[in-house]
Amino acid sequence: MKTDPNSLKILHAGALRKPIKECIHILWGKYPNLKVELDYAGSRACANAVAEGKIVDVIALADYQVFSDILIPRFVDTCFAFATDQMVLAFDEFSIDSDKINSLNWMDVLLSNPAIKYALSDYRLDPCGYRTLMLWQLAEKYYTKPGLYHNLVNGTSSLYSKSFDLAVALMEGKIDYGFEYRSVAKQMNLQFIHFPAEINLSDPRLTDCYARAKVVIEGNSPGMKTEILGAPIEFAVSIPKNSNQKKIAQDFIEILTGPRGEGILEANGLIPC
Amino acid sequence: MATGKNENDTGIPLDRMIQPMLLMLILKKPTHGYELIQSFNAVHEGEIVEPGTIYRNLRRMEREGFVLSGWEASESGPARRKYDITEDGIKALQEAVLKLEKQKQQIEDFLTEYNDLPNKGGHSIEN
Repeated sequence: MKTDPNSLKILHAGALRKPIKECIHILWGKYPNLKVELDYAGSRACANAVAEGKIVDVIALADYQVFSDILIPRFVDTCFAFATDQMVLAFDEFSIDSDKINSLNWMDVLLSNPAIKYALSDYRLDPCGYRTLMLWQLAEKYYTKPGLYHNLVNGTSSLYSKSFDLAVALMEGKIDYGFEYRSVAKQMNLQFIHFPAEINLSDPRLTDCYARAKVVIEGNSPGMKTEILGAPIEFAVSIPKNSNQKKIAQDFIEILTGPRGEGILEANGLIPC
Repeated sequence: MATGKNENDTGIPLDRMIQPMLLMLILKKPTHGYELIQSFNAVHEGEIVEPGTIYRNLRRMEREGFVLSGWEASESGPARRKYDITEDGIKALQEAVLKLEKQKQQIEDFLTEYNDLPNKGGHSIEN
């Protein structure tokens, strides 16, 4: 796509689609003629695009560790944690066995009926995907169910490139259940099951517990592996060093992290922090 | 919570002790919400105060002028919003402490009066 050098270019995690759009409407109050180019993907895919030369003015990701792992210090000086979330199991009224599933039996329901399709986002591209694998590892220990992690991995029907696509697949009936951020489930008006804090990656008091979960993915160089440890979910935002619109980008971040942005984040199921 | 003074006239609600606890922690050491959650101990036995509740109370106290926040960079993690207490926050905490002292005295008076009863209703209660 041809880009306008004067436009504000925002690259963001799919889960932030709606709140980012709403913050842009506030920004237009100050810059009515501003052109904005929005692009979104899984957070690791976003960061890799910037590392490969994509020029953007704001980058907002679902995991600050992606900044540390791929972008800091070469492409970004620092990032700002602005919201938290938690993992849930999303479904709708047409999902198979939606009348039976609850917070105690979810794993038995998913694994006992071969007709049920459940999915996650791609753990190589999207934090929601590797956070799902962490949740499964933590669930195996929390519920004392040996083999649960491998059984859930083996029963997965498909991977989606980002959490937003996973929610769309659920709405379209391609899958019955999706491991999602609560914010995305709320934005899409999906039903969801809450998980205990010990496995849902929401609570800073459980940092050491979450760190017992680990996912290894392909690193940034061929043959290299990157190890990601479980941690409380924190969304973060930054202005890349090569931004052409630093002043406007700063104004946007002040909206996102200020009182009006907090209201928008809260209304979209995120917790401003 | 409605903005402004609450029914205790302390400016901060005392029912779950969330805001007094947060103000005390911030008075001891200005810090960010993530660390405050890690340090926070619920006053009521068995109660778990969710992270979202703590973040919301911090923002509410900032809107009401009891704390101020600014971004603080970190060497190992992201920059986070760091909270410091204001003069109004110190005053609200002092008023809350006075109110709590009064409540404590009322509870002690009640327990003393009860324990002094020769007949507590005819039933013994084992702890």
